[in-house]
Amino acid sequence: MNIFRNIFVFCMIAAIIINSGCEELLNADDDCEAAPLDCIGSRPTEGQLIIRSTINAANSQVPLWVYRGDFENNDLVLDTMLSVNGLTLILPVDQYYSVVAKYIQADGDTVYAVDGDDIEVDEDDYCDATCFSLDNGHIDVTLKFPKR
Amino acid sequence: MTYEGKHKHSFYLEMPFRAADFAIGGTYRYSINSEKFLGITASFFGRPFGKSILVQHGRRTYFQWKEYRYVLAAGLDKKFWLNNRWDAFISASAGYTFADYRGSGEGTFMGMNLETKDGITPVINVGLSYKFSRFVFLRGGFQYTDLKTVRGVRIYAGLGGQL
Repeated sequence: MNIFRNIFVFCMIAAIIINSGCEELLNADDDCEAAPLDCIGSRPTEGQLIIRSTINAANSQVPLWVYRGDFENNDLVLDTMLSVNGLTLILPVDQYYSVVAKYIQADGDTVYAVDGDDIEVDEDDYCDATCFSLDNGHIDVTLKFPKR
Repeated sequence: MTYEGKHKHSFYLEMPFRAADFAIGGTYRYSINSEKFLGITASFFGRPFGKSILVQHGRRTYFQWKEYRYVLAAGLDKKFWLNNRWDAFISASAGYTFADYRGSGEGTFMGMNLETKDGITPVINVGLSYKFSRFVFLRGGFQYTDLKTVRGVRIYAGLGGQL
């Protein structure tokens, strides 16, 4: 009789465990969201660094430097001369970039405009896929304090 | 015992602001003399965005930075009750302000020292407070701080609770 009682108790406990497991699975299915149609399934390796700068009468050409990390580290990515109000670069992701633009004021003073931003990849998990999205870098080195 | 004596702790969320600049933060206040409505305070607030500022680093050389700015302060706060809802307050604190520039690690560049403008600052708030209920109050007035790169008086607003 003890054997039957033990088997009965075992079955009851097993049924409770299995049943609760099923509920968890069912609940998990309820919370699960399908990936959107525009899901990017492969992790991007490059993103955009969107740079805004100023061209004015005193600065028809603006020297501009792009660095990996803080600019004092001198890890130069690009050294160029801009003659338009901005530039977009394609650069590796998961990296912080800093940008320096050099302006000459009307009275001859020099202004170095500095800004920095990351190019990052965001990751969203769905029940059927992992989707990636780019968080591009935005740099504003426009001249905010021009002298007339 | 006064209400202030029974409820010594208060905390308020604050937002000092002026044209094109604002900060958010909070102050904890502990009542040390409930008869005189005198308390000690500890505050922290900061600018949550990179504001463009111009700093001279050489004789004719300036840097335009995107600056995040923070203030840590401690001091005294006194209330003058006008009626059972309104009070005037004045608080005076000694603070330390420090900054972070986007794109810079505060090194040297072409022989120029690019350290942020940090240092000691007074933090003075004056204004009126309105008590909505036993626990919730609203503060409004003016704040003076020396943020080193952006000077001037700010409008001060705060929402608080007293426990």
